[in-house]
Amino acid sequence: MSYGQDYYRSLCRNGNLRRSPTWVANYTAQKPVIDAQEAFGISAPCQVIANACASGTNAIGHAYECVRSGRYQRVLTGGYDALSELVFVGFDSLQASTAEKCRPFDRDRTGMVLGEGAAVLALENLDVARERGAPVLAEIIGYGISTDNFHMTQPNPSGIGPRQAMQRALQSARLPADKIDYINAHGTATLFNDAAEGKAISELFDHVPVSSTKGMMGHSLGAAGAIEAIICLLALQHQFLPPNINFRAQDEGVDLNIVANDARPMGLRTVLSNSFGFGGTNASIVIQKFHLRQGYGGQVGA
Amino acid sequence: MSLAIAGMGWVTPLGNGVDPVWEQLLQGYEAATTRVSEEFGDRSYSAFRVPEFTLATLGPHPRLRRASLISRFAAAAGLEALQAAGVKLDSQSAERIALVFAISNGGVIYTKRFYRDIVETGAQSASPLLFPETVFNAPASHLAAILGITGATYTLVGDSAVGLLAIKMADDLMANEALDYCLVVGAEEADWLLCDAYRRWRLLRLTPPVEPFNEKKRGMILSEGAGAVLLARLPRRSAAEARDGPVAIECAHPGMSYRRRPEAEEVLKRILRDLSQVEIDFVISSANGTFIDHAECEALRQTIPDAFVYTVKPALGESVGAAGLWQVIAGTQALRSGELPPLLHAGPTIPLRTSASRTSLSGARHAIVLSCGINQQVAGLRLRKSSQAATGSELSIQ
Repeated sequence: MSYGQDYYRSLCRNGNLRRSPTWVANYTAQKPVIDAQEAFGISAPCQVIANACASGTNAIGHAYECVRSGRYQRVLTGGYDALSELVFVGFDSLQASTAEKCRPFDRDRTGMVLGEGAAVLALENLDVARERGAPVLAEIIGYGISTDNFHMTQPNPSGIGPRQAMQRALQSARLPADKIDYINAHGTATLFNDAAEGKAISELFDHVPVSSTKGMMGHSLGAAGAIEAIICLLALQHQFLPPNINFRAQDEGVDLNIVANDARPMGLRTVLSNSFGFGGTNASIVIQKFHLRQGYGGQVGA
Repeated sequence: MSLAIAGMGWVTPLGNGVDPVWEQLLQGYEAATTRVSEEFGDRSYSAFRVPEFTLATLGPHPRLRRASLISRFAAAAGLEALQAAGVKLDSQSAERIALVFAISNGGVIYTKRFYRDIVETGAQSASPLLFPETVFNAPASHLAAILGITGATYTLVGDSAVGLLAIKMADDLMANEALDYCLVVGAEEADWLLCDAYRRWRLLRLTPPVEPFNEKKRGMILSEGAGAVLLARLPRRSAAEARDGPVAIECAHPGMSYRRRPEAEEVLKRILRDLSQVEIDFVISSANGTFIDHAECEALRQTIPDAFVYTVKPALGESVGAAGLWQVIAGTQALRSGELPPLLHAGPTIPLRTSASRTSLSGARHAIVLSCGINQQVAGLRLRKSSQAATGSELSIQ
């Protein structure tokens, strides 16, 4: 995005456009992926999913389905985003961002704080991973996607979009809701998201521990789902509940078991991670601690 | 897995509707270009724009009141594809259809307006109405809302190969038996800012024509519009599918990338070799007057020299995100109608099997759609016309 901004500002101000071919060539969304391939010395098919803030989870979910179908053995998948003036001002214009602390699910939340970053996961067919002796960090066992046609930037207050995504992820994992030990929520700390997501979680689950880690790292948009998937992996690996910091008081009308302010040790086996985005796109993945056992049918190691 | 093409929709600078646009291409028509200029630039450029009348039939959906042109193009093409297939969505079937949207530059007109206010006046003047239209998945969101799709919706971003990559993604998604259909839409809107950027990138020429496979690589002319293809599993047949004829996507290549321009030819050859395991009657190329033409020409000449080659870009321009879908529609129509349109503005010395006049392909069964993107992505797929519809294997030039 910053290349595009530099280009446009230079145009407006009759500035130096000597570098403009480089700006234009590097502006395209797929360029970081192709550059990364070159750096890693690989040449594989690549797809760049741009589903706004759900992109990271969509990418992992779609990669999971590609491996599960048997069409692909290994997929590198993830998300990336960098701060830019256009996006920063855009969220401010929507009154979605705050100058204060980011307080997901708090009664007095005032909005999101933007972040940036990247995260990449290597997904591999479990049998193939075991055959080559790869350390398996966890298994992805379910993915759900839904589209909420309510509004371009606001979720349906009923929570139907998040609820459908989570239900479909559970169906995909062939698990009942009570088998989920922890939810890493989208939890942007905006009024609308947290109300709709909180409603959907409280309707589907019975006091499952919930936290949004965006209070600690900000909302990294396209990268968020991938970063939060890795937080889930670490939670499974180290058996703890990541905290929902800056939390002071429960929102009225929403009954959530928030992991308030401090991490807690917890025996975790199966976790769910949510990401929702502009345009009403919703995605959820289910991740399970890896156990050596018989019968791996269809599972995907990460 | 083969996927039937159950319906198609087309919004182009030659108007809208698959059959009317195809008929114009067969007759050798070329869209007119418009000069586009901008207040802070002293240059003006030519672009193929979609005529205003084209969107007159689009209903007054609330989502389209303030939506950008790209979203309107997509809506018109998507609705035409569903209508052609005779598919009506209800709450149950809306969960069983996926939408994959191909895009390259996205909603550049609104993005420019949004950012111009910030640059000229400051952050306080940023419009909350425009900002949501700057995200890549805004057109897909509008289309999903108009059609009532509540299942999977994906927006794929890339260069002019992204349309074929979107079809490959649809192919992967359809491995899930929970889906009946996948609607693949590609859309793009043209703007001075894009013309200027591509010109500085030395890929754009100032005035038409687009000269495919010309050694001088004078450049492309940008275009706008949308293409939509509704894919279904082969056993499933709708009334409109029967009308459209049984053309299927037999094999969608997962795509590759090239690092430097000279490597594009080798990548194209690998894809062509993968796709030409059967006799190929013709190729819908992505030649657009830039460096990719030479790579495509050499790859085609060395891999499948006997196949006819056609590109739609001299007539319709380079629509980037929509281009791959336009190529698939052209390939499907050529198989259905048994004819290829005349290749416009191609020189006589091209070492490929091309024709400047309308070409009969009465027995054609297999076609390759090939797309070499200008920013390192390459993709391809193979179309097949069912055997009962084919009557022979002869190719002739009228």
